[in-house]
Amino acid sequence: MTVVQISGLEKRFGSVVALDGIDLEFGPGVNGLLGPNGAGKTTLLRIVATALSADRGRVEVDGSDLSRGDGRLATRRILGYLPQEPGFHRQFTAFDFVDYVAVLKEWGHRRQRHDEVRRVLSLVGLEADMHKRISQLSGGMRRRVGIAQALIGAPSLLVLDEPTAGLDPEQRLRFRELLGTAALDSTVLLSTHQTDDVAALCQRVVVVLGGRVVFSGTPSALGGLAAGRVWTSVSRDPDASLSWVTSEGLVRQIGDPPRGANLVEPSVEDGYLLLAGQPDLTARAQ
Amino acid sequence: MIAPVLALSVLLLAGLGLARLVSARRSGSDRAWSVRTEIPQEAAASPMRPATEGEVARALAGIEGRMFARSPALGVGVAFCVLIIGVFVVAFGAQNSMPWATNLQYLAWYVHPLTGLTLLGAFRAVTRARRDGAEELVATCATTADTRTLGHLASAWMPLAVSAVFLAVVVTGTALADNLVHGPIAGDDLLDAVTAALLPAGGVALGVALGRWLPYTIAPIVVVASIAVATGAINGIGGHDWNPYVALTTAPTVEGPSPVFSDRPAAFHLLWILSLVGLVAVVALLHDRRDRLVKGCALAVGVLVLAAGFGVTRPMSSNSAGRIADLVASPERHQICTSASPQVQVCTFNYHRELLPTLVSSVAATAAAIPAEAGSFTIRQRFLGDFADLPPEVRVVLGDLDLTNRPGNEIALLEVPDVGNDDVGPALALALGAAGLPDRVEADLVPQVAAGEARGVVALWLAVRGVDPGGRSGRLVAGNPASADPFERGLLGSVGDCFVPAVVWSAQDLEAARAIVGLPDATVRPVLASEWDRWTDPATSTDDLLVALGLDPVGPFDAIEPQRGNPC
Repeated sequence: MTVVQISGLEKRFGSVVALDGIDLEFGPGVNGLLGPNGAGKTTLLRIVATALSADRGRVEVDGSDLSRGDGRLATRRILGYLPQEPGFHRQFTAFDFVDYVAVLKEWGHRRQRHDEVRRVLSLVGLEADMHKRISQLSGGMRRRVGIAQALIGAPSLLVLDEPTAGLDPEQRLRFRELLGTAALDSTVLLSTHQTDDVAALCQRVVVVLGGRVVFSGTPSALGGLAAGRVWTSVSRDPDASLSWVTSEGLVRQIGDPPRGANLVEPSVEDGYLLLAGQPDLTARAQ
Repeated sequence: MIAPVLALSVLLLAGLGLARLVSARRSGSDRAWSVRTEIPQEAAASPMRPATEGEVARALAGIEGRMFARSPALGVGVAFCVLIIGVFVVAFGAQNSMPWATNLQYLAWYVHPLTGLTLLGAFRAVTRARRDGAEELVATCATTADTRTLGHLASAWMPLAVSAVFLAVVVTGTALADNLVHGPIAGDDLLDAVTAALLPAGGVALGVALGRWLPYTIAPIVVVASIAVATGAINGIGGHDWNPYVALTTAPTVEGPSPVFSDRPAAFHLLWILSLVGLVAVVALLHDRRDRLVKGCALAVGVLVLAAGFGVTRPMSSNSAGRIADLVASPERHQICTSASPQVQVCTFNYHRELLPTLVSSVAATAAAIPAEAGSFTIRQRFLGDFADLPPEVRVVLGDLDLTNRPGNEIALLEVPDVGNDDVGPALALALGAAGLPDRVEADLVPQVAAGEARGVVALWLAVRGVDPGGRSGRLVAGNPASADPFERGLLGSVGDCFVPAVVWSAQDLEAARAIVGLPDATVRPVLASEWDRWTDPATSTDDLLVALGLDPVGPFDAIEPQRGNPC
């Protein structure tokens, strides 16, 4: 089982601090990364995926130091990576593209490789469309091609940056099912804005804000941060940190509830929103 | 009974086609992922071991080669190949009278459009990840950038296969066409063909190197244009004089009319091209890999380039220089001759012997019409260029030989005449010589004026003896009969670079000649034979001849101011 150990990780882009002293350890199962845009999730995943080097700190994957060439090569041999914007060769068919990536992943034997390509394309439901050019595929289908290439060889480390972006609800459900199966034997790092994905998939969730880890724990623990601080009412409470109208017509609110408020069971999203909106709570969560 | 079955079959096929079409359209939409009820559970077939660098490069070469086949760049390159086949093999293949050696030298030129577009295709393949934003995905795979470069370089198999098929079609089509392609195919000629076939590999290497080092869209266009300019500049060194540097280009100037006067360094040229391809390939690899192996390869191919560069521009061997000098000074020692008539002998170099029957046939009618009083003539193929056209080593052997000092009754031909194209050139040269006019223009490139001279018209009458009677008048029309310039109205053909017709007539002479060729041969022949010396005397006017033949005079004749041809 692959273990990712991160210590004192720092990364800057000019004057912008993307990562500011990250210390984390990821083990088997699905590890979700939550955070607003620009929080540093993608930078963190890119460094783990060997696409980017760190300015400071240390990242080890199964003991391989990613600052060394042999460490990066060893990691790449067990890695399946879906970048946030993978970029597809539009003139390739889905099969050709995944086959091409398979070769780059050192699958030399043609028949064996083609079997594997068909397998992963089948996993994402593209077996009937695998010989269509990528330029002819919809955005969701392309995303599935991206997921398929990441699954080549059942990698023991899967790094997926917003894999469900562009997928419809049904496809997301299938993705969850697929990832749940993959995570039985792998360490999965997953960045997403979908808190329901995190709740449904992740054994562990990490919230990143401003380049720092502000929460690391189970999804239920993240939701638990909002325990006693989520309530519903018929009208908006001016003291609430956040409030929105639910499908039932009630106003769901997060913050310090007024006396006698109708407290409800907090969700992962409530915990995350509360965390993202309240620095003091962030400090407590850490 | 058969008709209904056929109709049913057609309907069935149409139905199947329609169903397939509808199915294809449906599959174009976002097919739901959930069409399957179960996610396949079969385990990944993990490779027993990661493929070696060589195995990955080979696999990449296969994929990149197939992608090459689908690339628009190669498509345009193939279109150029088809165009070249259409023009040079299909449309004008029957007019080809060049020796095989010359034909095979032209292959390098033919393959250049494909090579240029191969360069573009390779460049676009290498920069594909950058263009499509897939660099990160590619970079995080285990295969290193230098192995990917090797894969791109090895994808040259596809354009090389296209090039080989293309050149095979050109050569086969040339061989099968009803033309006058002739001469032996020597080892050097085969090396020329191999060099041409390999040029697309250079295109791939350069495209890959550019993609690695200068991945900007404009780069391949600038490089292709630069190579074209450099090729022109190198080929143009010394103008039309001997140029030892042409073999440094990928498209050397094709040797002149006859390959017998040359000794091309074909093997060194192949080595030069191969070493350049190797050097560029190593430069491409050096972008991402600079270990001892690659640096050693760079050093080795660098040395090879220098050696091949020296070899390709080397001084000619004394044996070759002596052989060529002898061909120039004493062509008769290397020729085969035959009679076109009792008075006319035709000689070509042994190398061109296959053309001899056709050449004889093209001058036979003219030769037969020359009166016995005119004497005998020899049509001889010989070197008629300037000393500067020859390699310096040959010039040393020749010393101060006067190339213009030829026997008076010799009709000299340098070029292997385009006799397969119903060309009256050799017959005209013989006719001019027989009539006492120069058969070719001298070095000053000023044609001789024969305006108003009967011998000029006699020469024209003789020249078209081999032409079908109905077409004779048509051969005696000025290149620009409506010109305000009397010179142009009296010139058969036109003045081109390094070319001026040997003789210029006046428009009235051409009119007289057309009138005379309209007379029966039995009327003209006795008149010419009876007073041959008179009719070939420059003092005898065209009108005298017309009157003697019972035709009306056409004078006065235009005063012709001869124009000098454009120097080479």
